[in-house]
Parts: sequence; structure tokens; C-alpha cells
Amino acid sequence: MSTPAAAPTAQILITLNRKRVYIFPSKHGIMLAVMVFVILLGSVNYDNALGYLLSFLLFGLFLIGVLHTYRNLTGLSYVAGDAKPVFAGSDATFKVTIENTADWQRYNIHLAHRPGLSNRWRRRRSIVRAEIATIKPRSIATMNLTLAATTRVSLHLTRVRISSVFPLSILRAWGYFETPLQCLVYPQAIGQLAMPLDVHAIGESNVGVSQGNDDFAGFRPYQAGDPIRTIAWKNLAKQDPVLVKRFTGGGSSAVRLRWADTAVLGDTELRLCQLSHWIVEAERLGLDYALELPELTIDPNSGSAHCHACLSALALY
Amino acid sequence: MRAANQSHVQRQHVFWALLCLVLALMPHASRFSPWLLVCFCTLAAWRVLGEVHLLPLPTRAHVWLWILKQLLALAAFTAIYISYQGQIGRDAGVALLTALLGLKMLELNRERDYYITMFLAYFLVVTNFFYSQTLATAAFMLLIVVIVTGRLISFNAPGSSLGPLRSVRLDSSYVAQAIPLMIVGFFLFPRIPGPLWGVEQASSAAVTGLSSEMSIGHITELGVSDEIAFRVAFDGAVPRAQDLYWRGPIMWHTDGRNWSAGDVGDGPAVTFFGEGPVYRYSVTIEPHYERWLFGLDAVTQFDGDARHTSDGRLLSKNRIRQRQRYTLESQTDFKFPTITDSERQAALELPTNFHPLTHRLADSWRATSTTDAEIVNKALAHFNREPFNYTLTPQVLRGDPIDAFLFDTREGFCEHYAAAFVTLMRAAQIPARVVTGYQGGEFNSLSDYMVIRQRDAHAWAEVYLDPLGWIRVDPTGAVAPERVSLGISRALPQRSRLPILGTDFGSVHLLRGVGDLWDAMNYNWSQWVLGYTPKRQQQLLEDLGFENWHYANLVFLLTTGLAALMALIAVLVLRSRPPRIDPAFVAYALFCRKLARVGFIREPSEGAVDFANRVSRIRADLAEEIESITKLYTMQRYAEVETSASQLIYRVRRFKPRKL
Repeated sequence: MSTPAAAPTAQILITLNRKRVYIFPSKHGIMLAVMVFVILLGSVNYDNALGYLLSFLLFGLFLIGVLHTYRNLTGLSYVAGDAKPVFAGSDATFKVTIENTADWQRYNIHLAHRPGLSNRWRRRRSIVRAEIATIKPRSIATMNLTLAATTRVSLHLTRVRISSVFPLSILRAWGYFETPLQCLVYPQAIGQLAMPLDVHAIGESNVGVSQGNDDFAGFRPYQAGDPIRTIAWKNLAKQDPVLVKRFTGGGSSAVRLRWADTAVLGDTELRLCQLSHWIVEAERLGLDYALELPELTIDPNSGSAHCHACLSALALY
Repeated sequence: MRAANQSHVQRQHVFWALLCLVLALMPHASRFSPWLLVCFCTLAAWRVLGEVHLLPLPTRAHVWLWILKQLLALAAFTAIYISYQGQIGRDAGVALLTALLGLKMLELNRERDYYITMFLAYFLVVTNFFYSQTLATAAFMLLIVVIVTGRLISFNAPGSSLGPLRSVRLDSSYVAQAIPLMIVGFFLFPRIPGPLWGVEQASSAAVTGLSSEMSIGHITELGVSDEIAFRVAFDGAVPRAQDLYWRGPIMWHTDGRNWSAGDVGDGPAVTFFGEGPVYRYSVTIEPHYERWLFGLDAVTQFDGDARHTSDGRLLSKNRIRQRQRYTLESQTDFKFPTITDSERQAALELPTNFHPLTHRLADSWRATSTTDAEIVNKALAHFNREPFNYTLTPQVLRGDPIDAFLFDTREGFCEHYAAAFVTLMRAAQIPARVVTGYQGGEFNSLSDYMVIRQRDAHAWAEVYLDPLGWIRVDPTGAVAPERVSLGISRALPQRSRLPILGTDFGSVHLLRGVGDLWDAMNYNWSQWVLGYTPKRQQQLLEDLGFENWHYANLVFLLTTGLAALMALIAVLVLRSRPPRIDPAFVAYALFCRKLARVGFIREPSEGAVDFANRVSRIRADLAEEIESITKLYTMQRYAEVETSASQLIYRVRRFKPRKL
């Protein structure tokens, strides 16, 4: 449980077997059972031999259904899983890989997130989408289970329910995989504060300044809070989108995104969101950026790995 | 793949559901009023056209159509209420269900609707059983269950992952596995006698068979019917053909033209004084919606809810609404001495101022005879000597029918002779009555039982002679003795022989064999399925070694039986077969060996595509071949669709790389 976003391993973690597969009539099954009972009652009353035959034939289908539904699920193994980090407020997609070692095909396999009973209702609502899959004999299938990532830090997929109503939808067989899967959830990338592009106060070490006034280095879209003097008025007059002139100075161009700069927001979560927003912006603009948190500093860099490192730091703050 | 929750039912499933409903309703088609049929078909057509977007469906988006649908529902219910006079019976119930299903077809949108529709298709089959419980009906039931179950399986394997062939295989094995469970359930489920609530009388059922009235010409209709009246299995000795008189309703009253039973003979039981051999037999009777039970004259022992009347009939407590089985004992040599005053009076009654010629003839016999027996013999001799003919297609009798028959046309069949004879006897002051029933019977060539068909219907006479009692006199025998000794199909002249299955002469032996087989199957069907009563269940239990019939025993047997069967089927179903080696894999291995011979060895970690690329880079001459084989192989192994490996195998075999 502790390893975040477990790397896919070839090792089989759990295989469904007799002790792990549960079966119970589904809603439709109960409907059919009531109907069969009515037929049986009618047969008794009218002493109708064919009525007896039909009710016992349907009853037989029900009983046989137990075997077939069980057979459709038993022997399936959870092989691996993976989830890419997401921002809070979006959907996290877990890729769960199931292996079928048997020589028969599995139909209508359905995954769902089912943590313990305690907060079942809340978690159930969090399921956005679950796929239904067919798994061929002796093969693996990767299924996507999409949950809503509401809060930062991480989303645990602790218990996956694998179920199937094949072949008649009158019985549901299910089992649970205890998976170590979790998805890192970055703080939502929102914030009103302008990125601290103005860096005079920081000093001029090579890790500091990301923006000077010396050399023109191109345009970028205007953001609330940009100094008025950096606005490219000429372009604005040409009815282009509002752009801001960028200058480089001090021989280095790295932004420092500091925890301290967000102090005005007060609330920790809001400050993390703001930092997250800045990181995303900086990454989008192709800037080098550094992150300074109270107990952690990440040196300036860019690229997806760096971005992930910074956002992870925020997520786990 | 598709989303899990509440998706719309796909078009193909909608069409199949409609088809299932139509199929399940088919046997009812002839029973419905035409308007209901038209209504149902219109609704089905609406749904089909709506599904292919030629017509809008009555959703809330089309308010007027939605209102129209509600009005249609109201109209249908009203029409059903009116046409069935507000009676909630069998027919009205089926009609109502049909109308509801027709409307349901329009709103078959969600998964839930789909399941309800399919389950109702199962249920519709049941409604059929109220009308018919033949083997054919059972076969039809099985057909519908197989089709509906197959569609449910397909519905539950979304996408095209389940091919049609595999679907049918899965479906049929599924139903086949359920059948043993059905059989165990059928025989061991505790049978409770009697209805749990009131059962209404079947009023609209078509009646064939004898009736409590006889007007000249009636039995002709029966005479050409091959329908089975009842079957008899003898336990031991079988009586001679000329003793096979199966007693039915007795005609006491006549207005000169029509005969009727009345309630004269309904008094309490008679005592027969049987002599000679005792025949034990069981009769399986087809429903005739009357209370008569047919037995060999004279019945001395009977079981069940029946009683003997004073004129020797056997009456069931309830009307025979379905096939029934009862056991009897008869002695064909018997004395029947009882007659009450009212019976004597009724047995002498003739309409006044009728049959003048008949009266004159009877009076002349009375004048020249000393005993009643002599008059009886004179009458029989008269039929024998005078040119009387036995035919199933007599001329129409005009005027006084008895006089016309006796003195003019002189041709007819059993009921003409019986009626004329009884009229003669009564005219001569001898108590007499017409007995109707069946005479004869035919042994099934494959099984040890006798079939009595409607065409074996017969009428004969009984006269009361002091001190002997009632004596059976069959005047038909005096004219056409072979009718009595050989049965009806031999008694008729060649040109009026009966329809094919009734005949038993040369050229149709094969057909007769098939007919007998079918009948034998039907017989066992009625013995073991339709006639499986609480009593038979008790017998079965005793045969299985249980002394007392008790619910607990049955429940024990039932659960054990089901559990044992389930265990057996579980072993068969869940047995893990040895892994089948994929032919694609074998072919690819051969391909790799061939490449290894020319110096390219696939690394253990190397994927098929990587390997192909590596080899192709070095051996451009083989690149095309390698690429196509690799493509076929990867498709075989990893594609969703199932394809045959034959193309791959063929290509690999032809692949002959040479060393450079």
C-alpha cells in the first residue's frame, strides 16, 4: 500500500478462486425468480404439468447459472496496475491488468472501486466510468477504471471489485482484488496571483533571476498582475491578443516559485493550488523554474520529469 | 467495450426482443380476436419503423404521440373488457397480457425494459398451456426457452465478442444442462392435490366427443374423426373384440327425432353381478369437458373421485378438463337386474301419434309372440333378413325418421339401428334404452395399450327382460356383424374408408408405423407427464423404497437429487481442459526455426515485430514475406476478432529463406 503508483510487475498478486468469488441473484434475477414462483404457483393451482416443467426448467437455468457465472470469473488474476498522476478535480484513470490463464473466454467483466463498507456510498459516487471487457483465453486485458480525484495527495484504489453477470444477468458473481494502486493527485492548478517574474529582490545568482529587463526574449500572453510596462502596446494596437514582452537578464532565466510569495492567500490549500498553477504555466511557457517550499527546495529545471517532481512535492506537502 | 450503466438497448437486441414476443405469441394467433392481432402487429411495426428512424416513437419529446399511446392503451383495455364481458378469465388474461406487451414494445429502451420483455416472453409460453398440453406444445416451449436464453446470453456478451456459432453452442449446452434439473424437480417436487384457489370453468373450449343428446346424424361427425378419445392399458388379459363395449351416456327420452339423457338414470349406484374373468386396466382419458368416465361394460371396481349411476354409467366428480388416468376392473359377463319404477316408465315412453308404421310392426310381433325375448329376436331377425345396409353416409330421413328408416331408406349406422330398435321395443311394451359410448379399439403396434378414437363411437340398445335384467342388444351387429367384431374401419365399404392414419391396410404400413410411434410417445407423455398426480408420485416414492409418503421425504430426495446433479454438472463445466496449443503459435515457431537456419535467432526478450524489423533490415529480399507473416501472427494472437490461422500456416509453410 505504501509504494506509490506501483510499477507493473509480472507477478500475479491475487487469483480469484472458490473462496474469493461470491454469487448472489441480481435485480433481474430476483425479477425472474418471482416470475418463476408465480408460474409454479399457477401450475400447482391449475395442476398444469407443462407449467411445472417450465418452472423447473427456468429454475434449472437459475441453478446452472450459478456454475456458469462462477466459471466466468474464477481463475482471473490481478496482474498489474498503473495510474498517471492527475490534478485534483479531474478524473484519475487506473489501468488494471487482468489475466485469464484458463482456456475459456471471459465475457462482460466489470471493474469497480469498492473500498470497505464504511464510506462506501461516498466512494461509489466517485466512480466516473468503468469499462466492460471480454478477456480471451490465456491472455491479458487492461481495463480502465476512472475515478474522480477530488482532493490532493493521492487516490488509493485499495479494493477493486471484479464482477460479471454473464451469461443471463440473473446472477452476479464478484470478487475483490486488494490492489496497492494509488494515483498521485496534484493540487488543482488555479490561482489569481501573477507569477513572480519580477526578481530583483532575489539577487543575481545563477539560480535566481528568471527575468530581467536587459534583453528582449519574446512575447507571452498577458496574465493578471503583469507590470503594465511590460505590455506590448504595439501589438495590442494591431488587435493582437494582449502580450507581454519578456526580457532576459543576469545570464540566467529561471523563475523561483516560492511558498513565501503566496502568503497573501493565507489558506494552505489555496497556496498550493497557486504554486501548482505557476508550475504548469512555467512549464507551458518553457521556462526554467525552481520550487521553494518551507522544508524543500527543488533546483530550477524544466521538462516533464521536473514538473512531476515539483507537483509531487506540492501534492504530498 | 461499453459504459456499464443504463445504456440504451441496441437496435439488434430490440429487434430480437420483438421477434421473441411474436414467436411466443404465435400459438395464440388463432385464438385472438382479429382486432387484437392487428393492434399488436401495428405496435410492433411502429417500433420497428421507429427504430430505423422512419417514424417517431412516442417519447416525451413527441407529446402528441405519447398521448396517442396512452389513448391506445385505454382503448385496448376497454375493448378487451367489452369483448370478454368483463370476465377476467383465461382468454381475457392472455388478451390483456398481449395488449400490455404490445405497448411495452414502444418503450423498450433501457436494459431493465429489455429484461422484463424477455422474461415476459418466457411467461407468455405459460399462457399457452391453458389451451394445450401436448408434446408439440412442450417442444414449442423448449424452442422459445432456447431462443430467449440465447438472446439473453448475446445481450450479456456486449460487442461482437461472442460469435453466433459459439453463442448457439453455449445456449444449447446451457439449456441442456438445465433439463436434468427440470426432470428431477418435476418428479420430486411435492405435489399438492387440488386447486389452491377457484378455477373457473373452461367455457370456450371446443368439445369433441359424445354428447348427452343424440339426433340422427350426430355420430357421423365423430365417425370420421381420428381424434383419440381415451387409451387403455390392460393389466393382464385382454377381452375379446366383441366384448369391447365402452359405456357412455344413456339416452332415455325421445321426441321421435332427438334423443336425450335426462336425469332418470342418475340415481345411486347399481350392483352388477359379474361373472367370468376380471379385467384390470387403466384408462387415460382425453379432456371432453363432461363428467363421463368410460369403462368396459360392466365396471365392478373403480378408484378415485367417481361414482356409479343407477343406469351403470361412471361419473367423475368434476368435469374432465385435462387428460386423466384412472384404474378400473370390469367383467364382461354380468347381470344387471335393477330397474326403478321411474326408469321403467321412462324406458317405455314414446311420443304420442308418432311412428305409426313402427307401432303396427311391433304390435304384429307382440300378437304372435309369447315372451319378450321372442320379440327381441324377431326384431333382430328383421334387421338381418330385410335389405338393411350399414353406411356412414345414409340418405336424409324425411318425415317421421324412424318410420322412414325402417320402411323406406333402410340404410344407416349404429344410431339409426339403435334408435329404431329401441322404438320398436318400446312400441312392443318392452323397456328399452339407447346406450352410447365406444365400441372396439385398436392396439398400438409399438406399445402395449389400446387406443379408442372418436370414430369408434357407437350406439347400441339395452332391453329389460324379466327376470334377466338389462340385456345388451346391438342391432348394428345384426346388419353388419364385422362392425362389432372387427371395428369400424373394416366394416365400411372400400370407398368410404377413413382418412389415412385411421386405416390399417397394406400401402400405408409405414405411415401407420410413424403414426403409432407418435401415438406411443404421446401415450408415455400423458402417462408420465400429464398424468403425474400426487398419487403417482406416492407410487414412485414407494418404488424408490420410501414407506411413507411424506413431504420431508420428498424435500430430502429433491434436494439430494438436485445437489447430486449440480455436482456432476459442476465437474463437467468447471473441468479444466489441457491447454490447447494455439496453431498460430506453432506456425510462428516454425517460422522462427526457418529463420534460425539462415542465421537469425530470435532473442527471448524480442517481440515478434522487433524481430521482423531486425531481420528485414539485413535481409531486404525477405522483408516483404517476413512482414506479412508477422502481421498475420500478431493479428492472430492479439486482435479482438477471431480469425482462422490457416492463412498464417499456409504462408509459413511456403516461406523458404535461403542462406546468402
